[in-house]
Amino acid sequence: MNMKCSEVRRMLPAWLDRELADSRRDEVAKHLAACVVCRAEMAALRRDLAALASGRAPEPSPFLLTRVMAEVRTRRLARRFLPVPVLRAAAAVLVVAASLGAGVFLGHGFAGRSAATDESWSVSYSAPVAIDVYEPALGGE
Amino acid sequence: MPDDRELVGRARSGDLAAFEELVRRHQHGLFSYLYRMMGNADDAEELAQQTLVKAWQALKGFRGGSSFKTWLYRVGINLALNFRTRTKPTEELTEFIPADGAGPAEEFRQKQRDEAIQAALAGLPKEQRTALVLSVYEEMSYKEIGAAMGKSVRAVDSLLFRAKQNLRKLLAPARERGVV
Repeated sequence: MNMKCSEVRRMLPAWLDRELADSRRDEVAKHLAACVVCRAEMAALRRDLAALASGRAPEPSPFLLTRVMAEVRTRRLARRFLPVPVLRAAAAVLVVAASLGAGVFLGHGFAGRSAATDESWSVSYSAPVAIDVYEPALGGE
Repeated sequence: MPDDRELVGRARSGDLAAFEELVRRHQHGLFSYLYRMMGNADDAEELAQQTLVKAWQALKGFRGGSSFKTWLYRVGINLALNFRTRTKPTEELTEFIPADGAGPAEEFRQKQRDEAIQAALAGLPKEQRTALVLSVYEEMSYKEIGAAMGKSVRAVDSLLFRAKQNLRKLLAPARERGVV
């Protein structure tokens, strides 16, 4: 049992992921065969990863593909007929302005926006922004 | 059935049907990854759409040095890391397809498990979460994760070591309640 327990524990995640070089892999395997404490650590790690893997994710909306392709087609058309970016931007501004104008004209512009819509925006922007703090690397990094 | 490389070649030449097939192949994995990163389906859906459209726009710059999947995830990772959520979590509205033969009790238990796991993932710093999700759910190698995240294999190893250490602490409350 040449390797220390601390060294083995640092390598256990990579050992389970089969990412260690063969020589290291054999050393860890030998250590595990002889060390009950490190075997328990490995079992706990396996259990955590199995728990994680059992979590489900939902399916995307059936319309995701349709929406993506519609946007791609629109952008391609815009690029084909309005090859200059400035023109594309101007066209986008015109489209937005025309939409707003039509909304005001028809009485369904901003004045017609529901309180619920405004509230949802204010709530969303008041959400705190997560800042990741990275702890110092363990195991000699 | 053409492989991704062939489809990418055709899509780069402007073949929309080829790009559509690439989207069809990768939308589920990409969406799952983004759901686990963002914690809600609305943000994941929006980011998936942004990622796929951006991929189309950037496809000419894809040199084929990695797989299309790795490259696509890199686009998604960059967007996810900079994304500021505009929606509240919607787990309670998220519908899962129950496993075959699962009764209400088992479905309830699985839902609790899903929520506990999602909460544990949310507790990890974003880069650790990214590496862990790509490793556990997408079954990417350290090299592929490094390519997707723009990091060395050694850095990925370090991220995953710390992620797995933190995961134990983050899963502990759910484990005590017998949920996981």
